[in-house]
Parts: sequence; structure tokens; C-alpha cells
Amino acid sequence: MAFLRPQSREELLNAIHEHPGYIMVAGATDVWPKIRRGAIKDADFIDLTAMPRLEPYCDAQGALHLPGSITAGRIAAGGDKMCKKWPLLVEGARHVGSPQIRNRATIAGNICTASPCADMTTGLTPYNPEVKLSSLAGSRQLPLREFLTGPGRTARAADEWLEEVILPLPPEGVFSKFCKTGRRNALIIAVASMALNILIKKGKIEHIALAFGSVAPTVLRAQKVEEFLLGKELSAAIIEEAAAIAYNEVKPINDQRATAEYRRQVCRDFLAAALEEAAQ
Amino acid sequence: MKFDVVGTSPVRLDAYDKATGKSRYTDDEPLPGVLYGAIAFSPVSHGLLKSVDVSKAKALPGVVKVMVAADLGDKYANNIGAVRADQPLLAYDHLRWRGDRLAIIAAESPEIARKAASLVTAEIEELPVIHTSEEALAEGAPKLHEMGNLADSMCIRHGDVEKAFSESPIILDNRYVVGYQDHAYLEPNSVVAIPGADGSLLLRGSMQAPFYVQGALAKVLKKPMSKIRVQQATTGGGFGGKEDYPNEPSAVASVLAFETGRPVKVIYNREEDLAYSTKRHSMIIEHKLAAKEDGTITAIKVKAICDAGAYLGISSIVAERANASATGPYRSPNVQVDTLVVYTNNAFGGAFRGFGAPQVTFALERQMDLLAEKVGVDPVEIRRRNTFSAGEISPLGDVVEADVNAMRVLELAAKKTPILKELKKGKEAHIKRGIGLAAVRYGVGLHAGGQRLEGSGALVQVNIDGSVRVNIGGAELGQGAFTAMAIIAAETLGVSYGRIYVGEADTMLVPDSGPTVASRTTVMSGNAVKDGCLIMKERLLKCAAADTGRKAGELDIKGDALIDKKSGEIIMDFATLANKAYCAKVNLVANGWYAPDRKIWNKEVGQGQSYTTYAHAVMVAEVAVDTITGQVHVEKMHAIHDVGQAIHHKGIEAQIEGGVVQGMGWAIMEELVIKDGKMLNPNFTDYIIPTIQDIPEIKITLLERPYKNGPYGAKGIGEPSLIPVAAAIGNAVANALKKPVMELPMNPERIKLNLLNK
Repeated sequence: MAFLRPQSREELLNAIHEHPGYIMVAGATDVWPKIRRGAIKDADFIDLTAMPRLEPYCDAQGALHLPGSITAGRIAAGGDKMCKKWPLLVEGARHVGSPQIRNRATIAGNICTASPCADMTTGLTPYNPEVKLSSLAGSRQLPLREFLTGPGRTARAADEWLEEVILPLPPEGVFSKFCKTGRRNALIIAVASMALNILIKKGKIEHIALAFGSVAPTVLRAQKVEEFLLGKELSAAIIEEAAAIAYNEVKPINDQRATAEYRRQVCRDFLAAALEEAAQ
Repeated sequence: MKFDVVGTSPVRLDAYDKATGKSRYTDDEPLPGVLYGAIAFSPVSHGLLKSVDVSKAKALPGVVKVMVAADLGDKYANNIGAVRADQPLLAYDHLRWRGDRLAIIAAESPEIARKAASLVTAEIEELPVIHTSEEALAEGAPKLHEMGNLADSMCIRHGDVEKAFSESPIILDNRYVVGYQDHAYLEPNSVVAIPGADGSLLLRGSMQAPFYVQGALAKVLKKPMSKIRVQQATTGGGFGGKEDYPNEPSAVASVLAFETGRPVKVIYNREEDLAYSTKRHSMIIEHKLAAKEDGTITAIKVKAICDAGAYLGISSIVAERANASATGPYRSPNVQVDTLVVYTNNAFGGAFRGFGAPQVTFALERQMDLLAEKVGVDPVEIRRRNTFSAGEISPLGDVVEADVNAMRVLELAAKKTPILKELKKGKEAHIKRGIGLAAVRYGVGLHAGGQRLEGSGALVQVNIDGSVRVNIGGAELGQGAFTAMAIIAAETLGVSYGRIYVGEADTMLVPDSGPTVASRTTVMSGNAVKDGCLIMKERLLKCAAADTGRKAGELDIKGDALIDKKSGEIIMDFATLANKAYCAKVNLVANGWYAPDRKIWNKEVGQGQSYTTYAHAVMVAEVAVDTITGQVHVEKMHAIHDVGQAIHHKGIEAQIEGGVVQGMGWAIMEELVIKDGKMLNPNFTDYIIPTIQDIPEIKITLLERPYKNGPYGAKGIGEPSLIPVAAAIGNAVANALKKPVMELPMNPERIKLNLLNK
């Protein structure tokens, strides 16, 4: 087993360029269980934890730049700006694992693992985030929804490093709601989850961004629901219809954690309740 | 009564070591030359075993020994059945579940041993899998054993139920289905076998019944029990899961130890432990109850079917308690209970805190609430009308004890909890709140059917420095048994708690004291400790009398000193007294013994004196049900317990809190997902148990009325703290949703489905 520990951005980019097959680890909260159950065997690693620690910042347009190395725990602890302007991000981070896991797990890991049930990724999605991917050849920015291509699959090239996550500033006055279901209150893999941003002005829906977790191969942007609701006025009938669209738009599977039918019902009812709350 | 130590809450003997990680569990024990055992388990749930190929396993470097059934030869007995000889140590011919062992391996490291196990292959003809106990009992079902699939049955016959059903205006006939539960102790099954040069064996491990292990090993190894010494190592939890199952890894380790001449450790990983150790039985309970217009019960008829899995294990004994618990604290002139134990290809049913009682209690207490609804009275009133009192004949056919507390705990619940109050409405429309109550009458100690195991011993040793060592036949599983024993010893000898050291359970030090189960240790071992201490004290006082020229009756030991009873004058300190006794050649080791009176009991009709005494409890659950997700949140739990006399107050509270949380886990989240006999979630990612974030506020009320035969009046608490939990939560959920609750666990999906059913 090879184990590299780059100390700088340059060292890292060189390392992944030379060893594109090595697995990058930071918190290792997903890698360890995989090694233990034999899903990862005889692998080589690049450890990211010796790199300079970067801080999140807001750019001139107000967008939030999160270093890939920021932990779920740090995000969950909030900080005024994040709590106020990107509450779904904070909520999503709060639902990740347990305190021990949150203290190690990074946002880049959460995204690159590309699990449809990743709570931080679900929370991020309604903000139309982009990821910054860097390699020796340079950097590129990709919308998150293009980055996530399937369960455990991303558009990341083998020599690319997820350097940053960029969250545009959501519209002023947006209503946000994060919901999740599972068998217990903490340390639970989402059976279904929802993150919603909605802005209602003069009765009309001016902005809507809706994501569901654990009900499709990737965290799902519910475009059909969004298209249906955009520009409409919320009424009991519209809410019911939107909820019905959500019920059909999610594409869950049956597994040992729950049935597809249950997941659909919960997504439908999460949305209906959130829209009712937003309408008030 | 006024006590010096009893009823206080000194720091537990093991608290510091456990909290700081100093305690040494079996896996931690350093042992030169040790080998590691691993097991190749059956890859099918049901099949005919044609051959096993271990050539690849044997060829792996680091592997020292590989054995299949044929290798046991005449040297060992291929039988590990706890009650019935229906279970081989190593499988041959018939594979009946995934826990059957194809081969056992000893190797230089645990990794090599497991790798070797994975290289074992077998030629198997698969057979149709029996999925449920009802399938097993259906005509034409494949037979798992020669006797058929009905492994055992027991009954209660009391009065004439059919006549009562034909004459009663109210009949409630319902079917309840309850799921399995894993013990989820922190330490998986772990043992180490150390062979002696003279053919003797020392077996140390995580267990709650060292004497069971000793007996099982004597059988498998074909050795006299005198050559087998079993010690309980520091044990990370048991909850019933380590009652009989440790016999199996112990036998594996011991056989390998004798074959290799080296110590062998067998340490399960979590996946193995979850998949192959015993579980709380899944049960189907058909419950028919008849009553008069006013809610007075006239008849109870119960058919409880326990899924035992492929082997009997101790399922018969569990079923015996289920059978005896089916009518709770209620009078019913006519009772018919049939409890069936059924072989299937599923998980291995066994002992688990409550021992068959939580399942039937759930059914009974749901029925009581349905009866209340039908009659139009509240849940307390319906139970008030049916709870029996002293001197009545109980449905078990015995006379209800004079100091019965069933009604007292019920009235306390009515007074101390909001069960009769109007529920406050919450703000959120999708949250429905409910409250529910459940009662239990728990027979402390072993059922009459197992009373031969009830005798319990203790060894009390006073040293010349005044320190005291106590050993009991009972085990410390984390429940605080040793601390309770130290308190009883200190109280009896008149010395301080800090003087007492309680050593690990060891078959060589104390006579067979039965298993550490049935909430019996405080009463049985506690009385034995008291007995041993009284013997010791008498010897010391007699010696002191001779030494001081006073009468023994005028002397006492109190506050670590010999005193004059009347004046309180301190004559000498305890260490001086101990030293004097030694010099006077007094035997400073005493053997205490306790055995309750023999109980008369008729198995044919399930009538007689079932238990030594009974502990009563009522629990009240307050729940909030999220109608969007179907999640049940237990917000508050009120626990009212008849404990006799508390020996260690904080210990009792901790037991109750633990029982509530473990019972809640079973009620609302824990679930073995089994497909064609295979457990699909043998890990803590998918077998969900409560975390600190799920724990409700727990309000505890103790009813302290000393039990006349308990040490200083104590009764047992381990299991009554769990038994009514699921029933109370079930009643609260039904109350919240205004819908029937017939199944456990009440997981989010089941509740959501229930909500959508019109």
C-alpha cells in the first residue's frame, strides 16, 4: 500500500497527476467501512489532511466558497452567515452521521462519495451549487447536478481534485425547509429527505428549488414540481397537485431500509406540509 | 428499617475501570502462544450437506487446524444442544440454518483464521426454506427434525373457556405479531480456552452462565466436570444473549485448544454476532378475551407461537415464561393458554431480558385497552376492575401472595402520571400525541419448571488485614450485581462498602448457582451472600467473646469495629478482630447458600406455584407520532416499580432507564430483516438501535415495600423494567392515531401504512 501525504496544493496536484488511481481521503469516514467490509482492497491513498487549512469566504457577488476540506461539523456549527443565508446547507450538515463522524467528514467527501442519501449534498442542491475541480491542467467549474452522474459515480476525472464548492446567494426572503426520515433521530441514513427553497412574492411563486434525497440514483432535483409551481399561487388544490407530481417524479427503490411506496408517500407529504408552511 | 449501606448509592465497584477503559475483556487478555478460532458457517438456510472441502483452508499459511464433523470422531460428542440433543457442534447431513458450522479453524491470527473460513466450500443440495412458524406447522412442510417442526408446547388449563365465550357479551379476538430483537451488547461473543497439560481446561469468556458452559463442555469434550473450570471474564453486556449461546463458541475454542495444545480465542465480529447469536423470539399471538358488560374478564384464550429457529436451544424455557405471563396481573376464572415452540430456518430464538413475557404482555395490554374502549371506561379503571388481590386464586392456579402490589402500582400510576389527564394539543398539525399504559406481573427467579437450578452459593473470605472477598455464582454483566453483593456483604458484616472486593464468577470457587437470568441475582445470590456473612459474623463474634470475656450476644460489628451493643463502645477495629480470629484459628472462609422453597407445579395443566415471588410494574408512555414520516417519538416514560427494598438506588434507576430504552428500541425501530432465512442487516448501520438522541424523559417512582424473603427485602428489577415498555408505547400510539396497533416494531413505514388504511 502506498500512502502519500502532500503538504501543498502543488504537491497534491502533482501526486494525483502521477497516481490517478490512488484514493483521496480526508475524513475517511466512508473509506474505512469500505476497507473493513472488503469493498476496497489493496488500494493506495493520498491523504489530504496535511494540506494547508483553508477558510470559507464570500466573493463580490455574495456567493459562498467552501473549501472541499471543510467538515460537516464546522458547517453544522453554523457561523452567522451560513446559518442565515444558506440554512439548508447547515441543516443538511447537522443530519450527517454522529458528532464523531461530522468532526471528520468533509463536504468534498460527502459530494464525491455520490450517495443519493448524502445529507449535505441534499441540503446543498437547492442553491444550484457548482464544484471547482482542479488538476495540473488547470481548474474548471461544474454545476453539482452535472457532477453527480449516478450512485457512487461523478464527472470527476481521475487526476482532478474537488477544491471548492460554490453556493450562489439565494434570493432575499426565501423560505427554506429541510426534512428527513429514518428510524431514529440521529446517526441514521436517510430513507427519504427533502430540501426546499421557495420565494413567494405578492402571492406568486417567484423562485423554487427542490431536492429529494434517497429516492433516485443521485440526489434529485425535482424539476417537474418546480416547473409546475413556478409562477403559481399556492392554494390547497395546487399544493395537492404539486405533491402528487412529486410522488411520481421521485424514483425510489425497495430495499431493506424501506419500500419505494413509503418513500414516495413521505416525499409527497414532506412537500405538501412545507408548501402549506410557506404559504402561511 | 434503617440500614447503613443498603439503599444508598455508592460508586459501583467497576465504574472507574469501565469508564476509563482499564477493564480487560476477553479479547484484551494477553496470552502467549494463543491461536485464533474462526467458523465457516453454512451458506444456505436449508439443505443437505454432501461434502465439505477444506483443502484450500488447510493450505493457507498460518492455519494450524481445520476440523469438520468427521474429525470429531469418538473423542468428542457432536452435540451442543442446551436442552435437547438436536444441535450438532459441526454440521453433517442436514443444514438447518445459516448458523450451522461446516468447519472450525485455528490459525495464528484472526485475519488468517477468517480468510481460511472463507475458503471452505461445500457441496449442498438446497431444500425449500421454511419462512414462518405457521409455514412450519402447515401440512406437508419439510421436516427440520425427525420429530417434526413442533419442537415443544406448554399450556394452562383453568376453568372452561368455551363456556365462558358462549355466555359473555364482549369478545375481543385479535392476532398480534411481534418481531425479533438482538441484544446489541457492546462486546460480541468472546471466549478463550486454555488447555492444561493434565487434560484439564480453563475456559474464560464473556458469559452469564458459567455453569452452563461447564456442563456443555463436559459433554462435548467427554471429560469430567471436575477437570473443567469456567471463569467469567469482564463481560460487556448480556441481556440474556449470553445465557446459553456462549456454549457454542466455548465448545469450538475448547475442541481446537485440545487438538492444537495451545490456547484458542474465539472472538465474534459484529456481523457474526448479529447473524448467529440468539434473539428475542418473534411470536404470533392469537388472543381471545371475553368480558361482561362492565368489563370484568370472564375468559382469556391465548395461542402463542414462538419461532425457535432451527434448534430448540432454551426456547422451551422462554416459552414457559411466555405461557405463565399471558394473563398478567388480571383475574380470569377461565383461562386456556397454548404456547407452541416451532422449528424454522430463521434466526435462533433464545433468552432476552423479559424472556417471552414482553411479547405476550404486548398482546394482553393491547387487549385491555380495546376492552376499556368497548366498555367505555379509562385504561386505569378497566385494569382496576380486573387486577387481582391477595388471597385470590390466580389464573396460574396459585394463591395470590399476601403482599401483592399489583393494585398499588396501578393506583400510583393513576396518581403520579398524566394517564387520566386531557392531552395538550401541540402546535404542529402533523404531530399526533397519545398516552398509554401497560402493567406487568413478573415472576422473580426461575419458573417452577427450572427450580432445580435455583440454589445459589456465595463464598465469603475475611483476611487478616480486615479486607473481605466475596464470590458468587452469579455473573456481573454490567447490571451492577457485584456492587449489590458488596452492599449486602457490608451491611451484614457491619463493615464499610470499600472493604469488599467481589471477584469474578468462577465454577471452582462457588457451587453451581444456576444462570444469571430471570432478575434473580439480587435475591438469590444476595441471600447467599447474606447467609455467608451471617455465618462469618457469628464466628467472629464468638471469637471476640472468648477474647474479651464478654457474651457474644452483647457484641456486634458496626462501622468497621467490634462494639458493645448496648453502650456502642468501640472495643476494637475490624482488622484487629480479623487478625485475632485468625490467630485463634477461626475458619475465615464461609460458604453461604440460599434456595427458595420447593414449588408444587403441574406441567400438564400449567397450574401451581409458578414463581418464588412477583414484582409488579406499570409504565405510562407519552408519544408524539409524526403523520408525515410515521415516526414515533417517545417523549416521556413514567415507570412505577415494586422493587421490594432498593439495594442500590442509582443502580435501580439505571436498570429502569436501560430497560425503557431497550424496550423502546424493540417497540419502534429494531428489526431483523430476514429473507429466506438470511439476515440482511447484520450490522449497526442497518440494525437500528436507539441513540442518546432518541431517549425520552424517564420518570421513575419506586414502591418500596420489603419482600419478606428478599435480602433486606429486595426483589428483582432487570426484566420488569423492559417488559411493559412496548405495550405502553403501543397503547399510546393507538391512542394517538385512534387506530389499532397489532404489530411490532412500530417502525415509520408500518405506522404510515396504518395511517393510510381507512
